[in-house]
Amino acid sequence: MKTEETERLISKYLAGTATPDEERRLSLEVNRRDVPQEWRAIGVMLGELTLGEALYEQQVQHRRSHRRRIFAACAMAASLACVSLAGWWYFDGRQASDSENIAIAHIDGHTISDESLVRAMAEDAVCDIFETADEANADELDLFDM
Amino acid sequence: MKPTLTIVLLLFATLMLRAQEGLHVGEVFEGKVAKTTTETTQTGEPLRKYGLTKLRTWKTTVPDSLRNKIEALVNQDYEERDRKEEEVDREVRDGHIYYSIFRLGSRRTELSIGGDTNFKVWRHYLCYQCKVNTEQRSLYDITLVFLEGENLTLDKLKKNFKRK
Repeated sequence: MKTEETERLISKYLAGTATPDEERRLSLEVNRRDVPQEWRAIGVMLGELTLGEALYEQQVQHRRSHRRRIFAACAMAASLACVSLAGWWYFDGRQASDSENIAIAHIDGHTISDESLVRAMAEDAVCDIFETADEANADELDLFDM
Repeated sequence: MKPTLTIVLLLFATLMLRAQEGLHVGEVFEGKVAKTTTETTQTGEPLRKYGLTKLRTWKTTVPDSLRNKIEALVNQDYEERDRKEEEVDREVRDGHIYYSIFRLGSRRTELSIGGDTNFKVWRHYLCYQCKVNTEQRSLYDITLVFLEGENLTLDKLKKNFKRK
């Protein structure tokens, strides 16, 4: 606490307008080791009870923030676990949906669902490319043989 | 506040990972490049004999402007291909791809529960072919194929798709 703030609280205390919370904060401040003599006198006036209450409140705050940190750490760990599990479930779920039997073709916007026809069209497309590759590779080998 | 922010950041990261799964040629398959196309989509049992879990094919005939656009997308995916376990079969003629078959990044899942590990690797391949249309020499016949299979290799694919 800054000196100006402490002196403001002292003035309020002496005027009898300090709240109980302000008295406790003031008590913690004036009972530190490195304070002026006149502040120590204020500490005596505030009494040990006020100091005791202030110290107790400080301990409770410390425990609460410690508990909050532990809770936050657990929440983060739980979030990470949930997201990881969700991700695994999503990707493994995709494999499950990929095992569904789908065979569909579209020709200029018209849909064909005859499985044998779809399969023939797909096979034709793939074989075409592989045959092109085979022919190109065979031509290359022929060039080497020449 | 902090736990909420952490959850939001983690969810955002998950979304980012999902977005990276997409291919540049994805917009071709989504019909954003050419309208008159012949496409097929298959998953599941029909593909078992090929060792595949997913197969998409796309064919169209386009002028050279669209051919160049599609080729650029294929090249972008080619640049981002799996280089660790590279599988490529490709030929370029007169500065344009004649055909290109290459492995894309793999997807892998591993989950260990109670000492048992469930381990799967899905491999993806992209195949592209561009030939001059025999009836109209100013047009190009393009074929684009996406394949996915567990523990797939190019040799297995070529064997499974040999015309009898």
